[in-house]
Amino acid sequence: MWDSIIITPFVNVLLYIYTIVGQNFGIAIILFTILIRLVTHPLTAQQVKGSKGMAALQSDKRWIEAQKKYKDDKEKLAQEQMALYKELGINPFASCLPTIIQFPIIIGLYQSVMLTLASSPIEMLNLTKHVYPGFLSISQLIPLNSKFLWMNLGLPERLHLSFLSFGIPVLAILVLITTYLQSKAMTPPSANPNDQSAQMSKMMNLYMPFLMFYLAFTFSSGLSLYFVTSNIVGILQYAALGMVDFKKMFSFPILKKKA
Amino acid sequence: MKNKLLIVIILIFTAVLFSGCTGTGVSSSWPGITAADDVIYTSYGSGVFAVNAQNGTLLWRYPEKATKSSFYAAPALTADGQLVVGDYTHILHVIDAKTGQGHEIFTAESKWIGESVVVDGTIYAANADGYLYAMDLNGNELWKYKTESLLWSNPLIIDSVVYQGGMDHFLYAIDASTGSLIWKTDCGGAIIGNLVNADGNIFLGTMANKAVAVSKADGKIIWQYTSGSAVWSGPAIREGNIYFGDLDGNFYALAEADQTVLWQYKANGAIVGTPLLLDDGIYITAEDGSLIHLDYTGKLLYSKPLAEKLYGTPVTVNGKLLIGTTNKDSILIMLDENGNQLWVLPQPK
Repeated sequence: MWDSIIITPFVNVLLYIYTIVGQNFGIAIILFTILIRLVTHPLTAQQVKGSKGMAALQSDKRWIEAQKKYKDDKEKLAQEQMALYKELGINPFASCLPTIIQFPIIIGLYQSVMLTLASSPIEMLNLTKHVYPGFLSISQLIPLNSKFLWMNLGLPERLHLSFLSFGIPVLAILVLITTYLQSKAMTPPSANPNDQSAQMSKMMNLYMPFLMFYLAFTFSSGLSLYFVTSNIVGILQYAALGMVDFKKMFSFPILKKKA
Repeated sequence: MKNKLLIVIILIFTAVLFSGCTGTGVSSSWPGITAADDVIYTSYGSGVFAVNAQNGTLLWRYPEKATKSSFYAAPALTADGQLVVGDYTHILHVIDAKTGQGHEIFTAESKWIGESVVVDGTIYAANADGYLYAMDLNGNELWKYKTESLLWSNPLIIDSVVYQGGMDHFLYAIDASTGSLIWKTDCGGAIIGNLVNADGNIFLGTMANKAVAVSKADGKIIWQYTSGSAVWSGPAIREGNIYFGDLDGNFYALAEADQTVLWQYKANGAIVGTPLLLDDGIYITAEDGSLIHLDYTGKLLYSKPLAEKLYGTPVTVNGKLLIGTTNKDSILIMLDENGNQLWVLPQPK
């Protein structure tokens, strides 16, 4: 079911793009990621609208007062919250529902990229099963050209420079930076930076880039290329929706404190 | 404290989710098997294993403890009792077949998927970096030949010529002593599986749905037969007839002389390995996990569900049938002449 609805169509579109861009798998991954992000843009827009509404609620005086007034009565606080949702026209599911819908698409995109980069016999057998025979010719597709710039997209990426004895994980570093920037762009400013959810977002924004760095450092560079593209497109989408304050996004409080 | 715990849980969940999606921990191949006298050597997952052919007892494993290495290609056994085997972490190993003590001799740029071949003390090994390497048993490179794409197929050495199939669709004939090209032929599709030498020709399968016969002398394509789907492995040949399967599960018996179809059999899963031809009939493994036994007229003698999935070529050991599996709990199954299970090698920990 998952395969036939998500993975197989994704693999075929990805491979189709690969054939029309001169068998360049790197370009195909970039274009495919952009395409999927554009198709799911209405969901992103809805999510942004929802989180803007939630941010507005956080700074609403009535909500701040209600939090103080009913801090020991959770039931009453919830009632007040629902009333404010109604009054301000906020749908509490508007920000999380699109994310939930997008999640399988993102996972599917990720799995298709991995499947297409088949670098072992069983992966290759799996790939042959996912190609529509009348649409694409497997004999023309294999071997997939997995070279992109200095990378082999099927292997973890390192840039080897003649004067260095080790390779630099350029893509993994880009993943780290773009993940951090995207999570900063995605996190709406909180009225009370000390509240629990703001603290949690802050910590997630710090830890998540390192997790993504580790994944990009360890797994195929095709996957890292997908991460970087997806992050950059995500930032641009948020910017187009008026969610990004570039000045704030590139400000680093830790550095400022030290200065 | 609660927040931190929640974040750690979310991060672990994300890591597990992504790792799961990349196939880490899932088998990426099936066991490569080499049998000699009473010992079976098999490469699978994290190691190379020596097994007593009589009772399936594990004699040794290399490396002694599981590491990051992942092995696929069957080990090549030299005349002086050494095993040569490559792994997915790009390293070629030499192992003492008696003791299981081994060491790394060479590192290439990519995975070793095809089996190495050792002739007169020279290792011929094809790597997924596109190079065919010739080296001595200490890993000193004698020559290397660059092809246009990945090499997954095994080299085949006949009369000082190395024949090598490539993912770039070419079959190469290379001088075994100098590494210079003698000829190369475009076979129309990626060559992934093994090559077969018979009757002055090289036989192979291609991902362009073809079984192909190429002249050893000059590389001319003698004939090609189009099947219903991709042909992963080279065919088996017996008494002027050719037998092979494709990834749609079609199994063909062709007359070598004019490639007429003598009969066909349809399996319930992809046929990946070369069929095993014995006096009592043909043995085929299919991806649905069944071992199929046919007679030479195409009549089904039995079809046994043996495993979750079967891919490799069955091997005979002292008249018994040995099957490599990708089961969660076993990697080798030994059968008697009637197809009854004798022993199983559990998945080593």
